[in-house]
Amino acid sequence: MVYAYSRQEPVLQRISFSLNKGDRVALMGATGSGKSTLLENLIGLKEPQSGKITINGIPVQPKTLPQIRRQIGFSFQDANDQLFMPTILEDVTFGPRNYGMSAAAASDRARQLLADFGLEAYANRSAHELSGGQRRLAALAAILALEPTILILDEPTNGLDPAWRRHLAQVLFKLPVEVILIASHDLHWLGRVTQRALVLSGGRIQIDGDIQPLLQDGTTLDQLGLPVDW
Amino acid sequence: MLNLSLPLRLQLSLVIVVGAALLKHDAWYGLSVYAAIALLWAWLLRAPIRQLGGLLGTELIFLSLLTLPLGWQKASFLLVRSLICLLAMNSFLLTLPPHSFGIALKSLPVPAPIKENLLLAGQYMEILLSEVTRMQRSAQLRGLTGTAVWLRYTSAAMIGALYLRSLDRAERVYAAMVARGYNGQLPIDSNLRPKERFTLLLAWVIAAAITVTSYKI
Repeated sequence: MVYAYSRQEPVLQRISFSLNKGDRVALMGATGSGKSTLLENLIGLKEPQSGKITINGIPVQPKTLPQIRRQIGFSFQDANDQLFMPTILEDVTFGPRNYGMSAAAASDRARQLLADFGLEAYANRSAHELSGGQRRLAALAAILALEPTILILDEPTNGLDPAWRRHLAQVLFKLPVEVILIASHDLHWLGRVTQRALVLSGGRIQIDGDIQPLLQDGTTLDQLGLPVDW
Repeated sequence: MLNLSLPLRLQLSLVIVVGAALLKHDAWYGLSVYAAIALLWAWLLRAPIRQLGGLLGTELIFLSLLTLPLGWQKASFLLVRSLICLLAMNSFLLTLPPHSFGIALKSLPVPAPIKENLLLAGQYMEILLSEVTRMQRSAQLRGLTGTAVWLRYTSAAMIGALYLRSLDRAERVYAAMVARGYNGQLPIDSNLRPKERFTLLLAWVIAAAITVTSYKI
């Protein structure tokens, strides 16, 4: 696929990859390499100029978006954008209720997720009262409430301290999702939670392979704008 | 402070406002009852007196400009009635916990589409205010100090930047809503508990009795 912001040099050119059941994939790349743009194309928030994206055999098109989005949990880079309801509980129940779940069942599921993230005390409070890290966790709970089969996370560890990063990794390991795609600059964390790496640079996927050998190859990462120890 | 849920507090404040607003003109007896209730309400909510006084003073100046041309007799009743309504609503607003206006707003007894719009507008105001605060801090950190300088900066460069930032943010929020299956309807729950419903019903009955009596005396 190819994607360009209007009349500009394409941000993404000739991007091609496939994700399989059981994949835990890291999407890496320097700042401005197009990671978020690629993720937004995957859930149809942006439309590629050419090429085709298929999720579980369904092409990503305007008419198939509800079907596509039902399967994908997408967490945005800025958690503030994702929390828009008056209370955290309503934010977490928002997705399930849009897809027809009863208020009581959605509330039960939301409370369980909030408890998993240590946010049960904030259920009936506004997102504005939470710290940055807590907002990130609440946003993730809102995504997981949809019980997606594919999970796409954009910079999920932003604003999380090491203990919560570890907790998030443990939560991700337990999730019954088929595919996880994570865009992040947090290379060490990615090394712990993913097995495969896609590295974006110059609008193309330059590397598609196992993450561990890549993380050992400091020279290559440095050339791609991803110095490991910085 | 009285341990009542925010939706119930909003609804009880509205009972006082609606009851007082529907009183018969010149029904001073009924008005004095509502005045006592509004004062009790302000006390129960522990409204901060200094802020409440300042707010009521400012609002009354504007109201005086509107009502005094009607003549003293009419104006005095209207002013006292407005004062009671404002006392009830300001007491509610001044005792709201930070960022909880939306939580209270969802219990408004209005049709769902209006409620949704109010709710989103309320959330948008929060976003706008947080953007203003961030921009203000950022400007201060880069040497922009003093109210006069800030106001000059606000009037020129900031409005455009604020508009773009809030528009950008609104688009991202909308994208997040769409990604979670938003189909034009916000799932809003504002059910009062049975005990709260009974309290509200009782309040409506008392208000109705006072207001209806004002027409019979």
